[in-house]
Amino acid sequence: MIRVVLTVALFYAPAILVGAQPTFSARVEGIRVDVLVTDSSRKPLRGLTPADFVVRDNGVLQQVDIVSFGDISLNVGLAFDLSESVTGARLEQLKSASAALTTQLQAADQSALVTFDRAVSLRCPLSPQHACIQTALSAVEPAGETALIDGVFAGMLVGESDVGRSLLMVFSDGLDTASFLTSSRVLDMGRRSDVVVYPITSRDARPAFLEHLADLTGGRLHEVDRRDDLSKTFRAILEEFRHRYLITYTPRGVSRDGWHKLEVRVNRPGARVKARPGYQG
Amino acid sequence: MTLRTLLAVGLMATFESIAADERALGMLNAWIVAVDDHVAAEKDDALERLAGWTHDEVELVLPYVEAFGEVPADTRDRAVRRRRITGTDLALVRQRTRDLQARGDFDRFRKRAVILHTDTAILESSRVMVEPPRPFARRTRDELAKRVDVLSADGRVDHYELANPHWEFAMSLLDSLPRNPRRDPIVSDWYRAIGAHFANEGRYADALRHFQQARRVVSDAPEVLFGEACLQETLAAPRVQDYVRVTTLPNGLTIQGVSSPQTHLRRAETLLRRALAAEARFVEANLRLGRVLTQLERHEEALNHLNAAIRDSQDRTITYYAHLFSGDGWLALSRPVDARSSYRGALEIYPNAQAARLGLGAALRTLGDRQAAVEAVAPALTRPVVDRESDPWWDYYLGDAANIATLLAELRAPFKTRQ
Repeated sequence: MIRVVLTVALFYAPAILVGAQPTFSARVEGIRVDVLVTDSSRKPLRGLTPADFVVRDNGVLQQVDIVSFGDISLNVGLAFDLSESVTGARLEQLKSASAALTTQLQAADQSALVTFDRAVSLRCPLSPQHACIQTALSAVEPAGETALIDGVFAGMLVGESDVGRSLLMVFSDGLDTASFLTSSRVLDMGRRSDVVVYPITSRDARPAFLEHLADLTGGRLHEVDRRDDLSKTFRAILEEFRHRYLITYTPRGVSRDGWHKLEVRVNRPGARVKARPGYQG
Repeated sequence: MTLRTLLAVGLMATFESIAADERALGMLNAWIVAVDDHVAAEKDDALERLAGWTHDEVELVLPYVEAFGEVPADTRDRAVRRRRITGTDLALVRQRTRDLQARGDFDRFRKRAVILHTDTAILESSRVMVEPPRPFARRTRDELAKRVDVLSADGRVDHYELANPHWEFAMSLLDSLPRNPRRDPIVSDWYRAIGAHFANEGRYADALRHFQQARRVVSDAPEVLFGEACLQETLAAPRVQDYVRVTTLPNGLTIQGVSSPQTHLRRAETLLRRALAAEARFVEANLRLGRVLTQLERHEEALNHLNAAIRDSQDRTITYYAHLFSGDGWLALSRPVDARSSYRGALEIYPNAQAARLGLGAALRTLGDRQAAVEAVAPALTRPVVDRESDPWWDYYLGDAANIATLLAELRAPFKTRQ
């Protein structure tokens, strides 16, 4: 979830408030929801307008103000497990998949790399310098325990540190063995954040935390095994994320605080919708 | 046909029994020499001789050592073992005991034996790897007596191995020491130090068995209660719980000793309260109790204990932890401003601590200040140094094992020479 001041176009709200005279008017805040809409064959459904969306906030029908599709730059965060379990062929696959992913990024997109073993490291801050990721990964030496939850938290913070639509791809083939933060703390952040999380995990690990976080943020969990083509998975996630809608509305008829249950539907036959189930007010 | 077979088996068993007994008596004599020869903490000839015994040989001689050391046969396992010794052999063993008692240092000898077996278990990797147990196959008595442990690395099964039998020797011999007017201090010192050793090595199966015995022997020693509480807290942690959740063992096998997080946390709470009842100014017990209560979501109660730890602590690491966990408590109570203060308190002690910076980031993020959250966390993410000096959180689950070198050195100090 993100709160923006509606008087400006989407993301640059705070700047407009800075003026010679203090402004005392009430803040009218908008809600932004990242939505994947596919047809019956799971292909993205294009050309939808605000009138096609039905949004209910805590059961109250809302007026959708803006819908954008594919025209906003992306913040693509990568949070990779580099603990002892990710060595050899798996590490090489991870490097190849990252290279394949960064070639798909556009000039206006930004990328970042966070890695975690026992500690969390920000290897590449959010920037358009996508080559940083390859350079950083070429020097890593996986070792030690797995601070998965801490790594995801850092990845989400980095992802929302600049304007744009934020995707966080989390790769881990192990279990959390070292985090300080609890899963409930990071899930709580997931309720307050607009970062969409796509975890990629091995079939035998499948941490419940990542599954829950993907659901909460409107993302999707991908399970892979050592024979799967990780590059294909990474590219598919990016492609899917690029073809999501970003809809914006100003909540009406609901109180500001607490958990808001969201329902998003599309008035098209066979349309399937994936969006976050709610947000924390 | 059937009768002949039965007779043959009986005869073979008798011959085997005689042969085994002679071997056991010979091993007992060699063991007595080794106990006298061993210098604590040294990988000397005495230790190598014991380490060279096979797992089966060690199990063979154990009842003889227990009988020699006058270990009470007050548990089922010991009673079963004792019955394996024939009357003739038992008389010979008791004569050897009387001979050694005549030397006048029988208690010290038994303590030296404890140290020998402890050193053998720690210094010699006498690891016996085995296939996973066959749950549905019929097992022999000896197989049933052997505990099989599963070792994992980063959440994956690495191998199965037999439990190290030298710990059983040490525990039995400690039990043989006089209990009146009071137990020898080596007993509680040993249970504390070896509990810390198991924690340090992540050997939770051994640690569970260890503390189960400790409860029977030194039920009111605060440091031992504290050690077991640390173990229970670790068993409740995701590192263990997640591993158990996803580990697939061969059909019919289960990992023993790990219950739900709440069960382990409640056990830890009970143990820590008993430790505090025995020693009210036990600062680290207050700290751990605070964190356990936080995890049990009894946050206000938890904060009282954490505040007490902050008030009484003379140790910067304990104070750091107490601030850190107070931050968690305040966040859970939806008081992010107080949480922010607590995490900042932790950072005043360890300015680069990643755990405290992540906590501060979470508090600031809850307050809605994204930029401040990023700025709080960022310094800890650039080339973090993973050591105790930059963030003691890395070592939190070690518990008492952080002091392992000192504890073992103190335990071995009186036995640094040959007899």
